[in-house]
Amino acid sequence: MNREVLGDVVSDTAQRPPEALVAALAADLARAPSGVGFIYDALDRLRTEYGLNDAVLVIQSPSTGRQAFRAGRRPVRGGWVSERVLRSPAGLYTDPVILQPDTAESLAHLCAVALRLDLLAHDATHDALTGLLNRRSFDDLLTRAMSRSVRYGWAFTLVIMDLNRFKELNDRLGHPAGDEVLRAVGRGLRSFLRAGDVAARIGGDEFAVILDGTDPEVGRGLAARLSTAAGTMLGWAEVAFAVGTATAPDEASDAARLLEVADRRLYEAKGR
Amino acid sequence: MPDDPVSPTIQAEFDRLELELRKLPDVIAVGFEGPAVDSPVTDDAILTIHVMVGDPEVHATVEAQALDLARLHLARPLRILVAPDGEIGEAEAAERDGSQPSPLSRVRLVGVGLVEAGRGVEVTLGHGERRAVGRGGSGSPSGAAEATLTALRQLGWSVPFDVGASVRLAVGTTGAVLVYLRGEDGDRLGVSVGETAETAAVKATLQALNRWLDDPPRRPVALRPTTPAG
Repeated sequence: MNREVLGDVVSDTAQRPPEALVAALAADLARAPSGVGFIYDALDRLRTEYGLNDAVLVIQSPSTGRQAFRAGRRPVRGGWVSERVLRSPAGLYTDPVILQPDTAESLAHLCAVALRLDLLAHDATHDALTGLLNRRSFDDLLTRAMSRSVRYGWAFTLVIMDLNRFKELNDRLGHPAGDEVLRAVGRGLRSFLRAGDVAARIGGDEFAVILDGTDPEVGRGLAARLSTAAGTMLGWAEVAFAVGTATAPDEASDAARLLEVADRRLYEAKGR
Repeated sequence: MPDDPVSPTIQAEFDRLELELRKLPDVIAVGFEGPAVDSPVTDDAILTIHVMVGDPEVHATVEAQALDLARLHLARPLRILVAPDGEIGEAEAAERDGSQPSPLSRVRLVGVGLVEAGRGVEVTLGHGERRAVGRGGSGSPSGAAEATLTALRQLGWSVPFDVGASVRLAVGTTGAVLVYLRGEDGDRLGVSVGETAETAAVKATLQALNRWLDDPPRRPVALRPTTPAG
Protein backbone atom coordinates (compact mmCIF):
# COMPACT_ATOMS: atom_id res chain seq x y z
CA MET A 1 0.00 0.00 0.00
CA ASN A 2 1.31 3.44 -0.86
CA ARG A 3 0.22 6.67 0.71
CA GLU A 4 0.38 10.06 -0.91
CA VAL A 5 1.43 12.79 1.44
CA LEU A 6 1.90 16.43 0.44
CA GLY A 7 2.63 15.51 -3.14
CA ASP A 8 5.36 13.00 -2.25
CA VAL A 9 4.64 9.34 -2.53
CA VAL A 10 5.86 7.64 0.58
CA SER A 11 6.03 3.90 0.31
CA ASP A 12 5.33 2.17 3.56
CA THR A 13 5.68 -1.36 2.34
CA ALA A 14 7.91 -3.30 4.73
CA GLN A 15 7.50 -0.55 7.25
CA ARG A 16 5.67 -0.81 10.50
CA PRO A 17 2.94 1.75 10.97
CA PRO A 18 4.15 4.85 12.85
CA GLU A 19 1.81 3.98 15.70
CA ALA A 20 3.78 0.76 16.20
CA LEU A 21 7.03 2.73 16.40
CA VAL A 22 5.49 5.00 19.02
CA ALA A 23 4.43 1.94 21.02
CA ALA A 24 7.93 0.47 20.76
CA LEU A 25 9.47 3.76 21.88
CA ALA A 26 7.06 3.99 24.80
CA ALA A 27 8.31 0.58 25.93
CA ASP A 28 11.92 1.80 25.58
CA LEU A 29 11.43 4.94 27.63
CA ALA A 30 11.69 3.25 31.01
CA ARG A 31 15.12 1.81 30.27
CA ALA A 32 16.49 4.71 28.24
CA PRO A 33 19.78 5.86 29.82
CA SER A 34 18.96 9.49 29.13
CA GLY A 35 16.00 11.57 28.04
CA VAL A 36 17.98 13.59 25.52
CA GLY A 37 19.33 10.37 24.05
CA PHE A 38 15.83 8.95 23.91
CA ILE A 39 14.55 11.97 21.98
CA TYR A 40 17.30 11.74 19.36
CA ASP A 41 16.83 8.01 19.12
CA ALA A 42 13.11 8.55 18.47
CA LEU A 43 13.74 11.22 15.82
CA ASP A 44 16.46 9.20 14.14
CA ARG A 45 14.41 6.01 14.06
CA LEU A 46 11.54 7.96 12.60
CA ARG A 47 13.80 9.44 9.96
CA THR A 48 15.48 6.15 9.11
CA GLU A 49 12.44 3.88 9.13
CA TYR A 50 10.31 6.18 6.99
CA GLY A 51 13.03 7.71 4.81
CA LEU A 52 12.35 11.23 6.03
CA ASN A 53 14.38 14.23 5.01
CA ASP A 54 14.10 15.78 8.42
CA ALA A 55 12.34 15.65 11.76
CA VAL A 56 12.05 18.43 14.31
CA LEU A 57 10.52 18.27 17.75
CA VAL A 58 9.45 21.36 19.67
CA ILE A 59 8.61 21.00 23.35
CA GLN A 60 7.13 23.83 25.35
CA SER A 61 6.34 23.65 29.03
CA PRO A 62 6.77 25.79 32.15
CA SER A 63 9.53 23.51 33.41
CA THR A 64 11.55 23.33 30.19
CA GLY A 65 10.67 26.53 28.38
CA ARG A 66 10.80 26.15 24.61
CA GLN A 67 13.15 23.36 23.55
CA ALA A 68 13.72 22.22 20.00
CA PHE A 69 15.47 19.07 18.82
CA ARG A 70 16.46 18.21 15.26
CA ALA A 71 17.12 14.65 14.11
CA GLY A 72 20.80 13.75 14.05
CA ARG A 73 21.60 16.46 16.63
CA ARG A 74 21.96 18.78 13.68
CA PRO A 75 22.00 22.55 14.12
CA VAL A 76 18.85 24.53 13.47
CA ARG A 77 19.43 25.77 9.97
CA GLY A 78 17.23 26.14 6.93
CA GLY A 79 13.96 27.94 6.47
CA TRP A 80 11.71 24.96 7.16
CA VAL A 81 13.52 24.03 10.36
CA SER A 82 13.92 27.59 11.66
CA GLU A 83 10.26 28.29 11.07
CA ARG A 84 9.21 25.25 13.09
CA VAL A 85 11.70 25.89 15.88
CA LEU A 86 11.03 29.58 16.28
CA ARG A 87 7.44 30.14 15.36
CA SER A 88 5.37 26.97 15.12
CA PRO A 89 3.38 25.59 18.04
CA ALA A 90 4.99 22.86 20.09
CA GLY A 91 4.80 19.47 18.37
CA LEU A 92 6.57 17.00 16.13
CA TYR A 93 7.23 18.02 12.53
CA THR A 94 8.51 15.80 9.76
CA ASP A 95 9.47 16.37 6.16
CA PRO A 96 7.46 14.93 4.46
CA VAL A 97 4.51 14.74 6.79
CA ILE A 98 3.79 11.09 7.51
CA LEU A 99 2.23 11.03 10.96
CA GLN A 100 -1.40 11.37 11.83
CA PRO A 101 -1.85 14.31 14.25
CA ASP A 102 -2.65 12.07 17.20
CA THR A 103 0.40 9.86 16.54
CA ALA A 104 2.65 12.91 16.27
CA GLU A 105 1.14 14.22 19.48
CA SER A 106 1.77 10.93 21.29
CA LEU A 107 5.38 10.85 20.20
CA ALA A 108 5.91 14.50 21.14
CA HIS A 109 4.36 13.84 24.53
CA LEU A 110 6.60 10.83 25.06
CA CYS A 111 9.67 12.92 24.26
CA ALA A 112 8.52 15.71 26.59
CA VAL A 113 8.26 13.16 29.39
CA ALA A 114 11.76 11.91 28.58
CA LEU A 115 13.18 15.44 28.79
CA ARG A 116 11.35 16.09 32.04
CA LEU A 117 12.81 12.89 33.53
CA ASP A 118 16.28 14.03 32.51
CA LEU A 119 15.81 17.39 34.15
CA LEU A 120 14.51 15.82 37.34
CA ALA A 121 17.50 13.48 37.47
CA HIS A 122 19.84 16.41 36.83
CA ASP A 123 18.25 18.51 39.57
CA ALA A 124 18.56 15.62 42.01
CA THR A 125 22.30 15.37 41.46
CA HIS A 126 23.26 19.04 41.05
CA ASP A 127 23.31 22.07 43.26
CA ALA A 128 20.62 24.47 42.07
CA LEU A 129 22.57 27.62 42.84
CA THR A 130 25.93 26.85 41.25
CA GLY A 131 25.05 24.11 38.79
CA LEU A 132 27.90 22.00 40.21
CA LEU A 133 27.36 18.49 41.54
CA ASN A 134 25.73 18.30 44.95
CA ARG A 135 27.14 16.60 48.02
CA ARG A 136 25.42 13.27 47.49
CA SER A 137 26.51 12.78 43.90
CA PHE A 138 30.01 13.98 44.75
CA ASP A 139 30.26 11.37 47.50
CA ASP A 140 29.23 8.69 44.98
CA LEU A 141 31.79 9.87 42.46
CA LEU A 142 34.53 10.09 45.08
CA THR A 143 33.81 6.52 46.21
CA ARG A 144 34.01 5.31 42.62
CA ALA A 145 37.17 7.31 41.97
CA MET A 146 38.73 5.83 45.10
CA SER A 147 37.86 2.28 43.99
CA ARG A 148 39.45 2.89 40.60
CA SER A 149 42.47 4.39 42.27
CA VAL A 150 43.01 1.47 44.61
CA ARG A 151 42.30 -1.14 41.97
CA TYR A 152 44.10 0.34 38.96
CA GLY A 153 46.49 2.83 40.55
CA TRP A 154 44.80 5.85 39.00
CA ALA A 155 46.27 8.84 40.87
CA PHE A 156 44.10 11.82 41.66
CA THR A 157 43.97 14.80 43.99
CA LEU A 158 41.03 15.76 46.13
CA VAL A 159 40.86 19.50 46.74
CA ILE A 160 38.52 21.00 49.32
CA MET A 161 38.07 24.76 49.30
CA ASP A 162 36.32 26.86 51.86
CA LEU A 163 35.37 30.43 51.08
CA ASN A 164 37.00 32.75 53.63
CA ARG A 165 34.75 35.07 55.64
CA PHE A 166 31.62 34.00 53.76
CA LYS A 167 29.38 34.43 56.80
CA GLU A 168 30.71 37.90 57.37
CA LEU A 169 30.09 38.73 53.73
CA ASN A 170 26.54 37.39 53.94
CA ASP A 171 25.85 39.39 57.08
CA ARG A 172 27.32 42.55 55.63
CA LEU A 173 25.92 42.46 52.10
CA GLY A 174 22.92 40.16 52.43
CA HIS A 175 22.10 36.69 51.14
CA PRO A 176 21.53 37.71 47.50
CA ALA A 177 25.13 38.96 47.39
CA GLY A 178 26.29 35.74 49.06
CA ASP A 179 24.43 33.73 46.43
CA GLU A 180 26.04 35.77 43.70
CA VAL A 181 29.47 34.95 45.12
CA LEU A 182 28.66 31.23 45.15
CA ARG A 183 27.39 31.39 41.56
CA ALA A 184 30.59 33.17 40.53
CA VAL A 185 32.66 30.47 42.21
CA GLY A 186 30.67 27.82 40.34
CA ARG A 187 31.24 29.57 37.00
CA GLY A 188 34.91 30.06 37.82
CA LEU A 189 35.39 26.42 38.72
CA ARG A 190 33.82 25.25 35.49
CA SER A 191 36.06 27.53 33.46
CA PHE A 192 39.27 26.22 35.05
CA LEU A 193 38.63 22.50 35.07
CA ARG A 194 39.63 20.07 32.37
CA ALA A 195 37.55 17.36 30.76
CA GLY A 196 37.13 14.57 33.31
CA ASP A 197 37.66 16.78 36.38
CA VAL A 198 34.78 16.91 38.83
CA ALA A 199 33.61 19.85 40.94
CA ALA A 200 30.90 20.01 43.56
CA ARG A 201 29.44 22.28 46.18
CA ILE A 202 29.55 20.09 49.25
CA GLY A 203 28.43 22.57 51.89
CA GLY A 204 27.22 26.13 52.28
CA ASP A 205 30.50 27.72 51.24
CA GLU A 206 32.56 24.58 50.73
CA PHE A 207 33.58 23.22 47.35
CA ALA A 208 35.35 20.01 46.40
CA VAL A 209 37.20 19.10 43.24
CA ILE A 210 38.66 15.84 41.96
CA LEU A 211 41.64 16.49 39.73
CA ASP A 212 43.58 14.03 37.64
CA GLY A 213 47.17 13.66 38.91
CA THR A 214 48.75 14.21 42.30
CA ASP A 215 50.51 17.54 42.23
CA PRO A 216 49.33 19.36 45.38
CA GLU A 217 50.36 22.67 43.83
CA VAL A 218 47.63 22.16 41.24
CA GLY A 219 44.97 22.44 43.94
CA ARG A 220 46.48 25.53 45.51
CA GLY A 221 46.97 27.10 42.07
CA LEU A 222 43.35 26.37 41.25
CA ALA A 223 42.17 28.12 44.41
CA ALA A 224 44.33 31.16 43.71
CA ARG A 225 43.09 31.47 40.14
CA LEU A 226 39.54 30.90 41.28
CA SER A 227 39.84 33.70 43.85
CA THR A 228 41.01 36.09 41.17
CA ALA A 229 38.39 34.99 38.63
CA ALA A 230 35.48 35.15 41.07
CA GLY A 231 36.71 38.52 42.36
CA THR A 232 36.90 39.86 38.82
CA MET A 233 33.43 38.53 37.96
CA LEU A 234 32.00 40.21 41.01
CA GLY A 235 34.04 43.38 40.76
CA TRP A 236 35.67 43.11 44.18
CA ALA A 237 38.81 41.55 45.60
CA GLU A 238 37.49 39.92 48.75
CA VAL A 239 37.02 36.39 47.46
CA ALA A 240 39.61 34.04 48.92
CA PHE A 241 39.74 30.38 49.86
CA ALA A 242 41.33 28.12 52.41
CA VAL A 243 42.47 24.92 50.72
CA GLY A 244 43.06 21.36 51.82
CA THR A 245 44.31 18.65 49.47
CA ALA A 246 44.84 14.92 49.68
CA THR A 247 46.10 12.49 47.09
CA ALA A 248 44.98 9.00 46.20
CA PRO A 249 45.96 6.23 46.38
CA ASP A 250 49.06 7.31 48.37
CA GLU A 251 47.34 8.97 51.33
CA ALA A 252 44.20 6.91 51.78
CA SER A 253 42.56 3.72 50.66
CA ASP A 254 38.96 4.79 51.07
CA ALA A 255 36.93 7.89 50.33
CA ALA A 256 36.12 8.76 53.95
CA ARG A 257 39.79 8.69 54.94
CA LEU A 258 40.78 10.80 51.94
CA LEU A 259 38.17 13.39 52.89
CA GLU A 260 39.47 13.39 56.45
CA VAL A 261 43.02 14.10 55.29
CA ALA A 262 41.92 16.94 53.02
CA ASP A 263 39.61 18.32 55.72
CA ARG A 264 42.36 18.32 58.33
CA ARG A 265 44.65 20.27 55.99
CA LEU A 266 41.83 22.67 55.19
CA TYR A 267 41.34 23.48 58.86
CA GLU A 268 45.07 23.82 59.39
CA ALA A 269 45.11 26.31 56.55
CA LYS A 270 42.16 28.20 58.01
CA GLY A 271 43.91 28.41 61.37
CA ARG A 272 46.95 30.10 59.90
CA MET B 1 27.22 14.94 13.92
CA PRO B 2 27.23 11.82 11.85
CA ASP B 3 24.38 9.39 11.62
CA ASP B 4 26.72 6.49 12.35
CA PRO B 5 26.31 4.88 15.75
CA VAL B 6 28.77 6.01 18.39
CA SER B 7 29.86 4.35 21.60
CA PRO B 8 27.41 4.57 24.52
CA THR B 9 30.03 6.37 26.62
CA ILE B 10 30.52 9.13 24.08
CA GLN B 11 26.78 9.27 23.48
CA ALA B 12 26.16 9.67 27.22
CA GLU B 13 28.69 12.50 27.45
CA PHE B 14 26.99 14.33 24.60
CA ASP B 15 23.61 13.79 26.25
CA ARG B 16 24.85 15.23 29.56
CA LEU B 17 26.47 18.18 27.84
CA GLU B 18 23.38 18.91 25.79
CA LEU B 19 21.14 18.81 28.83
CA GLU B 20 23.40 21.25 30.68
CA LEU B 21 23.50 23.55 27.66
CA ARG B 22 19.72 23.50 27.47
CA LYS B 23 19.55 24.52 31.12
CA LEU B 24 21.42 27.76 30.37
CA PRO B 25 19.14 30.79 30.26
CA ASP B 26 17.06 31.21 27.10
CA VAL B 27 18.62 28.33 25.19
CA ILE B 28 16.12 26.92 22.68
CA ALA B 29 18.14 24.47 20.65
CA VAL B 30 21.54 22.79 20.51
CA GLY B 31 23.18 21.21 17.49
CA PHE B 32 26.54 19.71 16.64
CA GLU B 33 28.55 19.99 13.46
CA GLY B 34 31.97 18.80 12.48
CA PRO B 35 34.00 15.63 12.67
CA ALA B 36 32.54 12.34 13.77
CA VAL B 37 32.29 12.46 17.53
CA ASP B 38 34.38 9.35 17.98
CA SER B 39 36.98 10.27 15.38
CA PRO B 40 40.60 10.81 16.48
CA VAL B 41 41.12 14.17 18.11
CA THR B 42 43.27 16.40 15.91
CA ASP B 43 43.93 20.10 15.84
CA ASP B 44 42.08 20.44 12.53
CA ALA B 45 38.98 18.52 13.57
CA ILE B 46 37.06 21.20 15.38
CA LEU B 47 33.61 20.37 16.64
CA THR B 48 31.19 23.26 16.35
CA ILE B 49 28.43 23.41 18.91
CA HIS B 50 25.53 25.56 17.80
CA VAL B 51 23.51 27.05 20.60
CA MET B 52 20.35 28.90 19.73
CA VAL B 53 19.05 31.44 22.22
CA GLY B 54 15.77 33.29 22.30
CA ASP B 55 17.13 36.51 23.74
CA PRO B 56 20.12 38.14 22.00
CA GLU B 57 20.94 39.91 25.26
CA VAL B 58 22.20 36.66 26.79
CA HIS B 59 24.47 35.91 23.82
CA ALA B 60 27.81 36.63 25.50
CA THR B 61 26.91 35.00 28.82
CA VAL B 62 25.65 31.85 27.16
CA GLU B 63 28.67 31.65 24.88
CA ALA B 64 31.12 31.78 27.79
CA GLN B 65 29.19 29.31 29.91
CA ALA B 66 28.59 26.95 27.01
CA LEU B 67 32.31 26.88 26.23
CA ASP B 68 33.16 26.06 29.85
CA LEU B 69 30.58 23.28 29.94
CA ALA B 70 31.70 21.84 26.62
CA ARG B 71 35.35 21.80 27.70
CA LEU B 72 34.40 19.89 30.81
CA HIS B 73 32.57 17.21 28.88
CA LEU B 74 34.56 16.89 25.67
CA ALA B 75 38.32 16.67 25.48
CA ARG B 76 38.63 17.84 21.88
CA PRO B 77 39.00 21.08 19.93
CA LEU B 78 35.66 22.80 19.83
CA ARG B 79 34.00 26.14 19.43
CA ILE B 80 30.64 27.58 20.29
CA LEU B 81 28.39 29.44 17.91
CA VAL B 82 25.53 31.20 19.63
CA ALA B 83 22.77 32.38 17.35
CA PRO B 84 20.05 34.62 18.65
CA ASP B 85 16.59 34.13 17.28
CA GLY B 86 16.46 36.98 14.80
CA GLU B 87 19.95 36.53 13.45
CA ILE B 88 19.35 33.06 12.09
CA GLY B 89 16.20 34.20 10.36
CA GLU B 90 17.95 37.11 8.66
CA ALA B 91 20.94 35.10 7.60
CA GLU B 92 18.77 32.43 6.10
CA ALA B 93 16.62 34.96 4.30
CA ALA B 94 19.79 36.32 2.73
CA GLU B 95 20.92 32.83 1.78
CA ARG B 96 17.55 31.94 0.31
CA ASP B 97 17.29 34.98 -1.96
CA GLY B 98 20.87 34.43 -3.08
CA SER B 99 21.65 38.14 -2.92
CA GLN B 100 24.67 37.78 -0.67
CA PRO B 101 26.71 35.12 1.01
CA SER B 102 25.68 34.13 4.49
CA PRO B 103 27.60 36.05 7.13
CA LEU B 104 27.62 32.88 9.17
CA SER B 105 29.50 30.91 6.57
CA ARG B 106 33.18 30.50 7.32
CA VAL B 107 36.34 31.77 5.76
CA ARG B 108 38.18 28.77 4.44
CA LEU B 109 41.71 28.11 3.39
CA VAL B 110 41.80 27.38 -0.33
CA GLY B 111 45.53 27.08 -0.84
CA VAL B 112 49.04 28.02 0.28
CA GLY B 113 52.02 28.00 -2.04
CA LEU B 114 55.44 29.44 -2.58
CA VAL B 115 55.86 31.97 -5.40
CA GLU B 116 58.66 34.05 -6.90
CA ALA B 117 61.08 31.12 -6.89
CA GLY B 118 60.44 30.50 -3.23
CA ARG B 119 60.97 34.10 -2.12
CA GLY B 120 57.29 34.71 -1.36
CA VAL B 121 54.27 32.86 -0.08
CA GLU B 122 50.77 33.16 -1.50
CA VAL B 123 47.66 32.43 0.54
CA THR B 124 44.23 31.99 -1.04
CA LEU B 125 41.15 32.23 1.16
CA GLY B 126 37.52 31.67 0.25
CA HIS B 127 34.28 32.96 1.69
CA GLY B 128 31.17 31.69 -0.03
CA GLU B 129 31.87 32.05 -3.74
CA ARG B 130 34.51 34.71 -3.27
CA ARG B 131 38.27 34.21 -3.35
CA ALA B 132 41.07 36.47 -2.21
CA VAL B 133 44.83 36.11 -2.46
CA GLY B 134 47.39 37.60 -0.10
CA ARG B 135 51.17 37.57 -0.42
CA GLY B 136 53.96 37.71 2.13
CA GLY B 137 57.62 36.91 2.41
CA SER B 138 58.83 33.36 2.82
CA GLY B 139 61.45 32.13 5.22
CA SER B 140 59.38 32.50 8.36
CA PRO B 141 55.77 31.63 9.19
CA SER B 142 55.11 35.34 9.75
CA GLY B 143 55.01 35.86 5.99
CA ALA B 144 52.15 33.40 5.64
CA ALA B 145 50.36 34.98 8.60
CA GLU B 146 50.71 38.44 7.00
CA ALA B 147 49.47 37.05 3.68
CA THR B 148 46.43 35.66 5.52
CA LEU B 149 45.58 39.05 6.98
CA THR B 150 45.95 40.63 3.54
CA ALA B 151 43.59 38.06 2.01
CA LEU B 152 41.06 38.62 4.77
CA ARG B 153 41.13 42.35 4.14
CA GLN B 154 40.55 41.71 0.46
CA LEU B 155 37.50 39.66 1.41
CA GLY B 156 36.10 42.74 3.11
CA TRP B 157 37.15 42.38 6.74
CA SER B 158 38.70 45.33 8.45
CA VAL B 159 41.15 43.33 10.52
CA PRO B 160 42.69 45.48 13.26
CA PHE B 161 45.61 43.17 13.91
CA ASP B 162 49.22 42.91 12.86
CA VAL B 163 51.48 39.93 13.04
CA GLY B 164 53.55 40.37 16.18
CA ALA B 165 55.54 37.18 15.99
CA SER B 166 55.43 33.57 14.90
CA VAL B 167 57.19 30.60 16.40
CA ARG B 168 57.73 27.09 15.10
CA LEU B 169 57.03 24.46 17.71
CA ALA B 170 57.79 20.76 17.87
CA VAL B 171 54.65 18.85 18.71
CA GLY B 172 55.25 15.12 18.79
CA THR B 173 56.59 14.05 15.42
CA THR B 174 55.08 16.92 13.55
CA GLY B 175 55.60 20.66 13.47
CA ALA B 176 53.25 23.35 14.67
CA VAL B 177 53.27 27.11 14.40
CA LEU B 178 52.21 29.65 16.98
CA VAL B 179 51.11 33.02 15.63
CA TYR B 180 50.88 36.06 17.86
CA LEU B 181 48.67 38.89 16.60
CA ARG B 182 48.81 42.39 18.06
CA GLY B 183 45.67 44.49 17.95
CA GLU B 184 43.90 47.45 19.47
CA ASP B 185 41.35 45.18 21.16
CA GLY B 186 44.12 43.08 22.66
CA ASP B 187 46.47 40.41 21.45
CA ARG B 188 45.51 37.00 20.13
CA LEU B 189 47.31 33.72 19.85
CA GLY B 190 46.66 30.83 17.54
CA VAL B 191 48.41 27.47 17.30
CA SER B 192 47.97 24.96 14.54
CA VAL B 193 49.65 22.13 12.73
CA GLY B 194 49.89 21.83 8.97
CA GLU B 195 51.65 19.96 6.20
CA THR B 196 54.08 22.86 5.95
CA ALA B 197 55.03 25.66 8.30
CA GLU B 198 53.27 28.13 5.97
CA THR B 199 50.01 26.16 6.04
CA ALA B 200 50.23 25.85 9.81
CA ALA B 201 50.80 29.60 10.08
CA VAL B 202 47.72 30.37 8.00
CA LYS B 203 45.59 28.03 10.08
CA ALA B 204 46.99 29.45 13.31
CA THR B 205 46.18 32.98 12.13
CA LEU B 206 42.60 32.00 11.28
CA GLN B 207 42.31 30.19 14.58
CA ALA B 208 43.46 33.29 16.45
CA LEU B 209 40.82 35.31 14.64
CA ASN B 210 38.03 32.76 14.62
CA ARG B 211 35.82 34.09 17.36
CA TRP B 212 36.57 37.62 16.34
CA LEU B 213 35.36 36.84 12.82
CA ASP B 214 32.17 35.29 14.20
CA ASP B 215 31.21 38.40 16.09
CA PRO B 216 28.38 40.06 14.08
CA PRO B 217 29.43 43.70 14.56
CA ARG B 218 32.85 42.90 13.15
CA ARG B 219 31.65 41.40 9.93
CA PRO B 220 32.35 43.41 6.83
CA VAL B 221 29.55 45.77 5.93
CA ALA B 222 29.23 44.23 2.48
CA LEU B 223 28.40 40.85 3.99
CA ARG B 224 25.89 41.98 6.57
CA PRO B 225 22.23 41.33 5.83
CA THR B 226 20.61 44.54 4.69
CA THR B 227 17.80 45.95 6.78
CA PRO B 228 15.07 48.29 5.55
CA ALA B 229 15.72 51.94 6.39
CA GLY B 230 13.54 53.68 8.96
